[in-house]
Amino acid sequence: MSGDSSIKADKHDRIYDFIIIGSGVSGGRIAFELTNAGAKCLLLEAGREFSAHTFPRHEVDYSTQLFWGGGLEVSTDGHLGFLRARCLGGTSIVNQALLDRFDDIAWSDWRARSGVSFFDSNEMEPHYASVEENISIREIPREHYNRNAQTFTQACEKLDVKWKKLKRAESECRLDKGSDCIVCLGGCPRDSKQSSLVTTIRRARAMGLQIESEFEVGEIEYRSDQVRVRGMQRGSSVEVTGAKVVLAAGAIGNTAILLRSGFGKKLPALGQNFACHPQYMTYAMFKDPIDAHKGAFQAVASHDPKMRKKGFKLENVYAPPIGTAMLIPGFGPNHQRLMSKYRYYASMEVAVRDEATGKISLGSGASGKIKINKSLTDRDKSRTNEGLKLVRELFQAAGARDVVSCTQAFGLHLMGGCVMGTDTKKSVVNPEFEVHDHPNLFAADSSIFPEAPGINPSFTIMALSHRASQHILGRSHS
Amino acid sequence: MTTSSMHLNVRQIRGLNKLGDQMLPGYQKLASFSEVGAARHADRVLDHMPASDLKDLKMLLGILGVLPAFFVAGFLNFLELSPSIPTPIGAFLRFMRIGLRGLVMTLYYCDPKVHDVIGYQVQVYTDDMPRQSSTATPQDLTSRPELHV
Repeated sequence: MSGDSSIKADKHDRIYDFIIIGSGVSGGRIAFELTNAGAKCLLLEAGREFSAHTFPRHEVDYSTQLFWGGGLEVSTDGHLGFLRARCLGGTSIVNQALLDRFDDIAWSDWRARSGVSFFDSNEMEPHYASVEENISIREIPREHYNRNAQTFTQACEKLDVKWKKLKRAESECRLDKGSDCIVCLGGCPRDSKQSSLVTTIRRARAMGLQIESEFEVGEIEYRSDQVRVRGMQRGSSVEVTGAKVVLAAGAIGNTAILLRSGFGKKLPALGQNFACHPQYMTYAMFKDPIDAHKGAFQAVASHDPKMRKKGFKLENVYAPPIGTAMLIPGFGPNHQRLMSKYRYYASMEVAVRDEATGKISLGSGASGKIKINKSLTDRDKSRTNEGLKLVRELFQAAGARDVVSCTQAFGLHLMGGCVMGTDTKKSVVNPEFEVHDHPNLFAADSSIFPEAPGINPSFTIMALSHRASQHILGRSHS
Repeated sequence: MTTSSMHLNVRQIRGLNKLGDQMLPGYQKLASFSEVGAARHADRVLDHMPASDLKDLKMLLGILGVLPAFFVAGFLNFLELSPSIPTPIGAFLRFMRIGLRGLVMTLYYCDPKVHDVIGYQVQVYTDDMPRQSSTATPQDLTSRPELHV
């Protein structure tokens, strides 16, 4: 690409202190911390910029406009679907803003696998605490539980399954005024959801952060004194230059950029250890309407040490009509019969702590299409089956008339590909968040996860990004 | 119902309706795919579909447009077997199944008439939200500390 005359020598005719590629919970956090420290930063985002007033309102429109692949990407064997956000704010725009600290099991497993000593609850505590300082965190009060949540808690209590209220990054949802938070799967129209757009990017922009949306990065050219970033923006080739670059495009994005840039030869672990917490929905039909799509969304989840050891958890979720229609198996009149009972379903989801055996690579040919090779291992399947069996028992205990198990699994937590570790043969990023032997290239998002934690990753990505920012700034000052 | 599309020609729209009516033929108050006129939403999806996928889809819909309905039904029943067919043939069929199901279910279950029947009505209260521009204005940076890299 460097010889292409259509490339502007430098779009803004300047060299940034930092270019951050990706604007989700990691990119937003790092952009904020670096800009706040006085650095000249450019934040690149492949998707469009929306605001509370402009988010697409309908499921069909936000599915196609806020996600890669026009809504869904699929593993090479076609068994797993992946949802990967593509908009300013990234996944934090479309997720349910759940904030969970990792437990000692997750950190211990990560330390053993990576050799990284700061993977430790005490070491990470100050970073969690710092992130919490500028995020509003709430639990949904019990009086606002909808019938889906009530069914979940009652079923858990009947079978002695421990559950917990979820900590949610939100400020003021106005449930008292009848807000239905399922809408916010396409972006929160109230700015109540504490997305990176709300918590970090907007503030960083006010301090001078420059943002280029609809800028899809193709490759980077690493030099000892600067890093050039090349991509396409609204049909034009563009090149920008930074003294340092932070990769925050997620497991698939970061890996693809590095592979396209020729790092695969230098980094044998690049693309390895991909995991995704495969999630399986089960719908249960009840005699009276449940209206799981109404009111507070995802108030509770399982919190049972037995399940934690077994490697799965249960979440109390629901899906809008298109998502539900995709998940309910089959087609024809029976499918429509089941869909006609949309208001009568409660649902639960099994999320599996899967083995990080997936691999991200690029296809041959000029297009170099991203390939995600991710199959469930026997252990993953065993965990899935055990979780689905428990869900069925819970729904039966709650008095369900019919239970519909969905066979299509989805991965929403996309992790690995550029894992952190001390061994250059088995990892891509070192404990200082630098790509091995490339001190001006950093990553701190879910791509560096050594394996699946079995816990919602957002909060820890923010905490790791906070820690990474301190490393990066310390290195810059020194 | 006459449907126009920036992406699909008449034969491809016929193929889409044929496919849609096999998947969603109607059940009680839920009308069939073509009765709802779901194909009119097609461009909302196709505008954002990756070019290579769109090309393949148009070719397939064009073929389905000239095939008899019973053949389309058989084709869909075959695709439903794909989860148990080994890779790589199974993978190809699963891609096709997810893609076609995704398109048809999306176009049908985004329709307001269908939402009325299944009882999907949602809202978020925003009356107390201030109007604001989507982009903030960068402020004076002179007070920011200087960072040397």
